Amino acid sequence: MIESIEFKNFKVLKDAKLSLGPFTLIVGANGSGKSTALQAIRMVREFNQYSYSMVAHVEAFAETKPAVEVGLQWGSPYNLFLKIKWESSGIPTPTWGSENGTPFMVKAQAECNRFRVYALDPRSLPQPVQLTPNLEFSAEEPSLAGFLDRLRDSEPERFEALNEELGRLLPEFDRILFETPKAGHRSFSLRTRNGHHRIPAIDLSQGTLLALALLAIAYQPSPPPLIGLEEPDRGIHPRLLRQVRDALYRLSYPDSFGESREPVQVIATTQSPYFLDEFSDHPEEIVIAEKTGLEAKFSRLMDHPHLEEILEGTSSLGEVWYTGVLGGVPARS
Amino acid sequence: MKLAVYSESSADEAAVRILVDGILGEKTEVVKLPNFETKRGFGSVLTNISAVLQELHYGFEADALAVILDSDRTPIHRKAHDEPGQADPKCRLCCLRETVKDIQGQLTPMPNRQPVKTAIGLAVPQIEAWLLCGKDRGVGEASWLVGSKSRKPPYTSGSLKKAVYGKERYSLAEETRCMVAEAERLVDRCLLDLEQHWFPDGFGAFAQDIRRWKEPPSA
Repeated sequence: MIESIEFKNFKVLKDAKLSLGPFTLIVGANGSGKSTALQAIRMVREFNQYSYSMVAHVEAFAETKPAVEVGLQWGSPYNLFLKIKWESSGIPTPTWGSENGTPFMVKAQAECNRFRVYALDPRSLPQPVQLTPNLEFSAEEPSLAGFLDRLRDSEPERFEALNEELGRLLPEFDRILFETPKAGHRSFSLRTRNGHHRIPAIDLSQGTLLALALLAIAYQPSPPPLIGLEEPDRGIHPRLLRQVRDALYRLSYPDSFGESREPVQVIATTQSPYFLDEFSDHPEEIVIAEKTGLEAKFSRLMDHPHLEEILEGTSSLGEVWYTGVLGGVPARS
Repeated sequence: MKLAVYSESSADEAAVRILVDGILGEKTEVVKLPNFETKRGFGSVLTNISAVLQELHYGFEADALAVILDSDRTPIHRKAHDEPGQADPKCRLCCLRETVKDIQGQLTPMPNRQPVKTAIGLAVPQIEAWLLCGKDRGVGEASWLVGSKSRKPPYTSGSLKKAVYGKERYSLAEETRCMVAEAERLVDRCLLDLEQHWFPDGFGAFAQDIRRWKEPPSA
């Protein structure tokens, strides 16, 4: 598991450290570095595609042009670090280091190639797709029809479990159905619980598609070792956010949800006080992103000096965050 | 009797219904209204209880409303608070009772209809403590009170939940299943009197309110 990511002159993260657990929820205002942190994770496997000018902090780029660095620190048993460095001229260079030699480096490199960051676009989710043998819910071109079809055929029990979870999350539907719009292609529909009407994917609401996509991510048979998720609460009714949390916990804590696979490290972002409320039992999972001037920093909610006293009041965690007491809210003009 | 429940989640609601039926000795009907959820702490209960009571009063749907609050770290309810003029403004149960009384006093009386009966319980520090009755003798209002006075609570929210659900993280479906099973255990094994023994004020006040529902309305 990656224990922390350190940033130097990386966009708005001029000098910041993001502490990570099995599950981490970053909460903060627009432009406070949440998406930038996820972008760094996405870049770990394709850093060559990013030039200095694309990653440098605005001040660094304008003035002395110091190096930009992103450093990942793995915990036990790997005890590795990976530092990616961009000088103002030349290509980015990765440096691996280890306290225990390099027995885990190859494994960690392979895992880095499988890191995925999802920023779900409801416009692409309902599209019919050409069938492929690949059973992965792609972050780059997420195709619900293709993934669900492969899951149904290769992991029928898991597909049934996803159907059941769908019924809990969106009680008006009870089943995913498939169509073949043309040879070798698939599209999907949801069947209504009452009347068994087929609602084609293209006619489903954006929130419904996003909720189904979240379940697709959570029910992947072999999910990536690390998943980043931009605002998984987006488009979903506040009362259904508990099920969104459950889907994410399914990834991070598989034992607790009857799964026998390796845990997935999950980093999610949010701006929703309602979603934050769902994590009030586990404040150790929350990171506050705070922007001051041109610089953003991360701090663990647990490190807030008066957290216990603040939460003893009558307000929920989300309400307290919204007041600004905990930081991570927009600056006043 | 048609019963509405105002609770922290749909998992709580199912368990609270079983407890109410057990105390009442009869099966209540679920009212055809959206389930009310507090979710966001005691502040939101105080803000929203007016809307809930108005909906029930003018909607003619429910005969009674059960509300369960978590005390968290706030003062627990004491019998002395029930004496005239002795309500404790820091006690959530006292505070909500006063609010409900004020709101119901402002509602326009409806012909041929009694006001909605209410029962308010204060789970100390949360409903999972009630659900451990008969399983863990260390969980009760007395032990919580002693621990709180010395700033060393005997258990935490996390430890209570782990004791009930068996793990730290669980799905809503699992939570509902566990809560319902524990509430059924309390009723089926006739443990509600024991519950009142261990939680005399928070659960006791709730049970007393519910038993009063069967009393004939005062003239």
